[in-house]
Amino acid sequence: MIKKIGYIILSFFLTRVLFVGNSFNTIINLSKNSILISSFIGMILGIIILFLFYKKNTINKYINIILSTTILIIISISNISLTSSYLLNQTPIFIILIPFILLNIFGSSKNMVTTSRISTIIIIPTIIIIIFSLCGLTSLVNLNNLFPLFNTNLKNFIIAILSFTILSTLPNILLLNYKKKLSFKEISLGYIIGSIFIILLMFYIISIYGYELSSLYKYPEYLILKKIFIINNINNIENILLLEMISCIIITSLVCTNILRDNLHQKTFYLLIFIITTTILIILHKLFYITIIIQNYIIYLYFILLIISLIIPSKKE
Amino acid sequence: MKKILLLFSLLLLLTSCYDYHELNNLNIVNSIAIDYQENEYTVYLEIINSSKKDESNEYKTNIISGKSSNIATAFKNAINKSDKEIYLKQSRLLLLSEELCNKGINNIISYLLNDNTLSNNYILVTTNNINNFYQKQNNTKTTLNILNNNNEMDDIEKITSILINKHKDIALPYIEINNEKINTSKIAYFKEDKINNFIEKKLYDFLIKNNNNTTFSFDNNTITIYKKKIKTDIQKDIITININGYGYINQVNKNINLKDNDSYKILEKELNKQINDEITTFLNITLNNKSDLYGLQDLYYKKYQKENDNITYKINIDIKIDKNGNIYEGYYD
Repeated sequence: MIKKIGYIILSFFLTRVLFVGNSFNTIINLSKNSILISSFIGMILGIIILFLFYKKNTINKYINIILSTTILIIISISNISLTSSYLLNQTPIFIILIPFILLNIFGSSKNMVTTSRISTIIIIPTIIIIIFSLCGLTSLVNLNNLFPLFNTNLKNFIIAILSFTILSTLPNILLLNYKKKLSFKEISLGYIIGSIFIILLMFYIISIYGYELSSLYKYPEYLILKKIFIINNINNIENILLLEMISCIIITSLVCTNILRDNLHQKTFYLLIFIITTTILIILHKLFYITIIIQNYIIYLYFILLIISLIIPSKKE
Repeated sequence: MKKILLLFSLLLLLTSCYDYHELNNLNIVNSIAIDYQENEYTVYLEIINSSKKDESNEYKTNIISGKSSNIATAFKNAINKSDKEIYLKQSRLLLLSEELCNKGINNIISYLLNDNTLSNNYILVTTNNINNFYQKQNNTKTTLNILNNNNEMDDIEKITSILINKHKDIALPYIEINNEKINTSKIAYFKEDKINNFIEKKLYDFLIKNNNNTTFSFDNNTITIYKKKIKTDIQKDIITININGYGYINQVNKNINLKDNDSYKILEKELNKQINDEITTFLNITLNNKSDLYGLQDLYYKKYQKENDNITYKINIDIKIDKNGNIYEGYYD
């Protein structure tokens, strides 16, 4: 059985996972300097949406499968494009993907309790890495870059709020599948802590780079780590600090594969994993432009999924 | 058995040894230089020679270069001349020739920013003669030491963030090489992405880089500002630059007796006037040449979210002298 602290930690990881990849860039482009205000409003809206889901109690089985599959595909693509861009830029994509998929299959052969325990173990180095990163970046903060506080139009501002809400809440919905001991307090606490860390990271990105430069970058959340230079000695540690994002992706992918395994027959599960792997390989190898389309329009798909999972009743209800 | 097979396959796959390179098989780039002559870019890569032939501690470097009308191809041509895999992440200096800066550097910056094989904490410098710079060994090391001495240098990201901000202009350290002598006392200031003119960098370091240990001299008195704070206040069309800080006395003339309290007040008054004059001259010269290095327009825009061509500035200096040296009186005029 998952412990209460396990839910908080899982929610902490799930809240941040969809921000790894292109999401920071998307939100910065939309809300410019008002990113902190829009993210804060987005967080409050996210708590309300989580409460609605908590009251709804369960999610439809098929929606669960679609949601888990979508999130698994997207975070796998994010993971591979991040890894192949900065860490293993000469390694073929399938060599990066296969261990990731094998890890997920192995993780799904256990159960959700094991995933929760792994997340409880990983949380300590994760928190240390995050605090270390933020401390290392504090001296570079230039508050002038945050001004003017509101320099976007209302439409983009609203889209940015909704984007933050959708990106942070959507993976959290998956936790409703393991709700035996889950109370709203735990899921909301994990969500709030995770969101605060995202907002803090956004604050550092905008105050160090300024919105003009950070909106140019594909992965500002990674590139900012390159600037860490502590005691004239500790630098070039961005790849170690990146482990925090990778652990976020791994925990979420384990949650997704566990849900798929619980909702599908064994053969169907393996078939689906095979299809997912093949799809990712085809997209990344042959249809690169699809990743650009995904980056640009995935937020709308998330929005549709969020609404559908809220509206469509579960069979158990 | 399945688990053992799975673990074994993970062991093989997770070693991250695919396509690795030994340090001996790498050419580590110490600095990069880009020149532009006759519609062609020339990229120079200064490579650290790893084979140690003599006992001296100083490292030796080799230069390879590539030419093309396109910057990316010029880079590729230079890299192709290397006998080993090129490693660019160790590079700490990027030299841009004066001709290139006259043409405009946006093209170069966007290429370099996009390239993830480069680090993003190297500093940008302009020079009048790239060939002469590389003729003498260890010039890169010397230059970096001179530039980094007490100065916080702008890396490519900082430069880019100013370049894409239309309300502010950049300035780069300028290395003037004449008869193998290196002069680093000037900066090249830009209008948008092109060189506008050159000016002594003392005031730039003092006012814009906010570096300490700037020395001011007047009437044979010399005072070093060792600590200061710069704040700006914007009221309607007037931007007030307030500088508060502390200085110590390096030297005083014959008429100053440091046992007398009033001498300090006289020195402070003269010092503040001197700093005010120097800053005003610096800002006037650059602003008259249409380069806003301090970012007055940017400050105004950040407060009022609109542009204003009629911004004026006011400088308030309040530097206190709180340290003196070993002697109380100067003994010469």
